[in-house]
Amino acid sequence: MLQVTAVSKSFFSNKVLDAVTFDVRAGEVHALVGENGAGKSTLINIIGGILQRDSGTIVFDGKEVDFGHPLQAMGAGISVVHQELSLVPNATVAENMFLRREKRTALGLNDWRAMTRAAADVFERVGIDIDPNALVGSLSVGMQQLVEVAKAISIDAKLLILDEPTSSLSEKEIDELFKVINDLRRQGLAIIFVSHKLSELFKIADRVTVLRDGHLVATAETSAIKSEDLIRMMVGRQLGTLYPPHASAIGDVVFSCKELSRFGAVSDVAFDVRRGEILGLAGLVGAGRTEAMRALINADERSSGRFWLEGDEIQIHDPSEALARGIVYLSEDRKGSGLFLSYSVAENIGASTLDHYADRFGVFHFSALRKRSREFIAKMDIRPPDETARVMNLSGGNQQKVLISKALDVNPKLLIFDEPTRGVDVGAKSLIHARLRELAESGVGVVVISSEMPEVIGLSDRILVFRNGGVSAELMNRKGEVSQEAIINNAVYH
Amino acid sequence: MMTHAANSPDATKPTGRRFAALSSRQFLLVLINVAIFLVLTILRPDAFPSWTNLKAVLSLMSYDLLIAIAMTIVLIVRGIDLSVGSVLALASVTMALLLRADASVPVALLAGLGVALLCGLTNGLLVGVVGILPFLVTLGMMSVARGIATVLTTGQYISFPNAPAWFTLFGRYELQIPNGSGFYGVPVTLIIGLTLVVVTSLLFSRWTALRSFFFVGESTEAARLSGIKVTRLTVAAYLLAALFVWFTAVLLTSANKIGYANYGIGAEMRALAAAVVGGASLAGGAGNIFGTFLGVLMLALIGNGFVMLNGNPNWQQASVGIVLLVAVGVDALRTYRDRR
Repeated sequence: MLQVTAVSKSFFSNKVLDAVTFDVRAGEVHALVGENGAGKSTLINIIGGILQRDSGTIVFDGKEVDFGHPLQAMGAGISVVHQELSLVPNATVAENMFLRREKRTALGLNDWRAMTRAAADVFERVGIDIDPNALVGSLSVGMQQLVEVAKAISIDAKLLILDEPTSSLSEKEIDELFKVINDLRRQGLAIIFVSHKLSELFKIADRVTVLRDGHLVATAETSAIKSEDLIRMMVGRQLGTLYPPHASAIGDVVFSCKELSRFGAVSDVAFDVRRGEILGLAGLVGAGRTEAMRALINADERSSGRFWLEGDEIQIHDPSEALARGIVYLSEDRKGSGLFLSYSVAENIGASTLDHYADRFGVFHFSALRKRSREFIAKMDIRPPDETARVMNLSGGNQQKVLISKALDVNPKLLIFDEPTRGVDVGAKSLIHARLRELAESGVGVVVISSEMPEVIGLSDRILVFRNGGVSAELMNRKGEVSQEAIINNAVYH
Repeated sequence: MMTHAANSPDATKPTGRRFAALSSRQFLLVLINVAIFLVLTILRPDAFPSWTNLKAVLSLMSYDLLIAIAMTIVLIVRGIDLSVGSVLALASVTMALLLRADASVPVALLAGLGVALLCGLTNGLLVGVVGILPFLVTLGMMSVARGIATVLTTGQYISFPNAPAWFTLFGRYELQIPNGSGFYGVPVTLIIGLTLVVVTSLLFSRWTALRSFFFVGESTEAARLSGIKVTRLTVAAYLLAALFVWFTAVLLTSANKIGYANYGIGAEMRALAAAVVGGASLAGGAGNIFGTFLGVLMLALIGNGFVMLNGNPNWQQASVGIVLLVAVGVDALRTYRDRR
């Protein structure tokens, strides 16, 4: 159905796709995997006509094609469902499905009856039960995802591209989606399925293609390959244990906090952080973990709180005072409130520590900052290894490494890291974990907020579970013995 | 100055790359300025390149230059200061009234500085602490300062015939530089303006406090979490801008020997156009003092061009507007691309 041959694409001087060749057959689900920045998005954007290739050929449905615009690709029968939903919540399902290609009556008015009927037909075809007259906003995210799929195939698609369709779905919704995908496969559609969750693609895909750094690594039958092989192909090396070992020794208390409250969000949180340990904060999104940590540095005004750093009671009036005392909070929203996106790697690394690079006359020396940045680039394996690169051009994992470098440059006593590996690829993830462990071993208090349960369990030596603005449980986890069930049990209401 | 600007990481956006700074925008501006200069020289070889004409252009642009530096500083922290022109008038009127009442020059100057800084402080506190949009705050201040200046003077010119002669002479003082056959008279206002360009440029790249301005403008929240004292720096930016406005008021009052409530009408427009053309962005976090200088020069040459070519000089105002719209349009496009 689709034959991609030696397709290359560069952004400026950066080659993001290098002679990639792969094919998708009719009636096949073809998974596309790779770390963030491997070139998956670029490839599907080229197939979908959003980007134009520099070289190579694409043959679709027997004809060589060269789409200049997504609408041309759609016209040819290629439909892309993007990761972010693009539906209008205040319109009905049918309205959404026929947005900008409304069916008209003879008078030129919108023919709602015809559209509703057509929408119902599509739903019947893919075997899902959705009322075409329901408001999209009233549907669950999973249902909305199915509407997207239905909308995508309603243009008589021959090739359906799904970009991480399951990232915000529950298990049950994923099952529903997979049933639909199976149906479509039986009807002869070609499907490209992009996912980070390896277990999923073993469930659904016939073949899998692995990309790494813009190169094709391999295409294989899913039945003939194991999960470990896939991971090895994605990162290009064997991942030993996914997480670094737990704390070797736990020392005295670095930091403690009592009576930490923020009106309406955090109530009476107390905890200690000890040398050598990583303290994990688990809980559902909205349980008050981020809110508590932001209240700790008074980024959001707290109503109460007492703090001790290395035994002495301290005041923290604002984030700059926290930072001056060596308490660093790294935001979960690295693009919005972590990094200075259009500035260079070096500028970002030195953002909290400009004074370190001034001499005794107060004159700032950029060369000193660049030198320091190169040390961090080597230590954190930041790619590209160029301290003058703009941070916005880095992949998520490398941006996160810059964020950590910025914090490390402060020589922190307490590092609070909110979602350290969100949106980060496998390789960067284990590097970040290893660096956090090193930091803890060196005597820095480390607090990690993570919504990914395997990460909390794999990384932390002690886990605080948050529920409704307070701590609901403290679980010792020196050997990673805490079960996901134990966390969930304390995170939800019974 | 060129080498300095090339070294400065704050040229437009701090990339840290040594020459990228001057590569695109400021270099283009130099070319545009040279082009306008050549065109005018070819069209009016008799009048345009004469030192008398160039001197008039350069000394007049010095006031705009100082105001534009003030605007650039505020733009860097993602603010805007529409009150620059009217604060200039209010400071000028304050000084002139005191001089007329036989106050000593230092007292008058300090009072003018106090008034300017008070306006700047009010702007800074309302923006930085209270959190009102800078556009609204300074639009209000623009009206307040102009209004007070008009009330104080009932719209009249305020002369101060009894003030010491050195004060009234210094604004028009010209440094005589020998050129073989005679002397070029270089206006002191121009020398002060250029000196401040170099000094501010240097401070922005070499003084950590001023470098922090860029971080505040690029992402206020990230700056705050990075331990940068955002509120303090925001207030400081408006105060610094007020300081430059005061410099301008002193020079203008001295050179014209009068205080006047209608000084600086439309100055905010020219300053904004020059600053944005020079590399500042309404989205904050960007700005280059040398670029601003080139922007002011460009507006001055265009204005002079209308005079030279016997066009209606009122076109000058329209041309400022066009430059502003083009610059803001390009800036919006750039921001849009950056954010994608």
